[in-house]
Amino acid sequence: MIKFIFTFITTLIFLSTMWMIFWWMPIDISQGSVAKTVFIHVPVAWCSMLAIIAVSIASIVYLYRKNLFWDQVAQATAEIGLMFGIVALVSGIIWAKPIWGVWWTGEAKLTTTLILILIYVAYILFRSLYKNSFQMKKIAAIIAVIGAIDSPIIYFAANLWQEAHPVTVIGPLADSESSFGADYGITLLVSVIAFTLLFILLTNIRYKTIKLESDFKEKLS
Amino acid sequence: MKNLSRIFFIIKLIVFKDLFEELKSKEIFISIISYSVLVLVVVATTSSINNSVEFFATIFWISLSFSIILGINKSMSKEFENKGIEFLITSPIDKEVIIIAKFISNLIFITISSFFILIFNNVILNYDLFEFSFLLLVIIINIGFSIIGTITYLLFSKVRGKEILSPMLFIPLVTPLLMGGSVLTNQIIENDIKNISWFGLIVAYDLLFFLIGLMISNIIFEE
Repeated sequence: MIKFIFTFITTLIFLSTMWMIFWWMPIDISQGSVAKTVFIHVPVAWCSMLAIIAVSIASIVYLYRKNLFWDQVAQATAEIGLMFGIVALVSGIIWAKPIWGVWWTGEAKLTTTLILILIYVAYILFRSLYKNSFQMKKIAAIIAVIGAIDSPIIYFAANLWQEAHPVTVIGPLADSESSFGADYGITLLVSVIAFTLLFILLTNIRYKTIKLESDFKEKLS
Repeated sequence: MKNLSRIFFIIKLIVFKDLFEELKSKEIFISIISYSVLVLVVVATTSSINNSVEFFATIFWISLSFSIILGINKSMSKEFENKGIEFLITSPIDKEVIIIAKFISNLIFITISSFFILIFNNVILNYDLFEFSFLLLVIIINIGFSIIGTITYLLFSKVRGKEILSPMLFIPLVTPLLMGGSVLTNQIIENDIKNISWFGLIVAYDLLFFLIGLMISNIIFEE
């Protein structure tokens, strides 16, 4: 019942978000229609960051408690987080070409996201290739934790290196005034909530599939 | 104190074993140096930048990082092929000591190879960069390369496709080192080192991964 209510609310908020982005929000004067990409790019990027934190926490708890539940949570979160990370990268590239004039720059946030995606591709590939043993699960957890430790360092390094990403214009860490209207903030907030709920829902579904697979393999052996 | 001297003795033994083995076969040196020369040959034949110092940093770090992947894979796989690692694990030596010895062995291999790579870079790109500050930079970055390369190889050592997985983790993890390396190389070329904080970041990064290596050594050497 709870799952049904959660799925229903997620669908409702998600559909409302789509309506707000594509019909309710006016087209931005300076950036044009491409500015609407931000309403997908920012929430999915936020979810991919949330995934890194969740994967690292689940992996640390697994290393500490050796409970299979945490390993499965880490795997499910990493897979969904990777999917969101790729969408964040692609949507960012689509936005960057008309606005910056280039598909890609060696800028901090872009570099960090790409590197993080590569680390998690290695993590997921490792999980698909290893023999299902306790030691390999521990190694997978280590890879996830190293990836999580590395991402803020890479971000710091890339920030020192070059900077072109737009500054934060919304929230308590905002560096400057937003050129967008108040509608922009509301739509973005609703979009972040919708994508976060979608992320939780997908992770839960993936976790259940992983658990079923694991239980099935256990019964076979 | 006695314990410490025993640790140093064991590290020395493992490092010397690796060095003597390499002196006989020369497989690691040949693979690192020849691969980097191949990268340089491709660069020289596909572009007209062989007279430009602008691309020196990029080409040097590309040839070095990719050939190091090959060298570390070769060095570590030799240990696994001959079951040397099993003898090391089953011997009464702390796992931390084994991993430190492997870091040092790999550091020696890649540092010696780096100087040859530098000579080839200087010749092919027509630019002489045998400066003390640059050599120091190469060594501190090589420390990071050696530590991260050893850790990534050991993490994936028991799975199929480790040759692909290991670089997939190695390159993202060494990215801050490569960024710092390229920035500082350009500043050394321009004779104007403005951003000394990069040196600090590289050393801190080396230390961080050294500690990570020590912390995970028991797990990665588990049977």
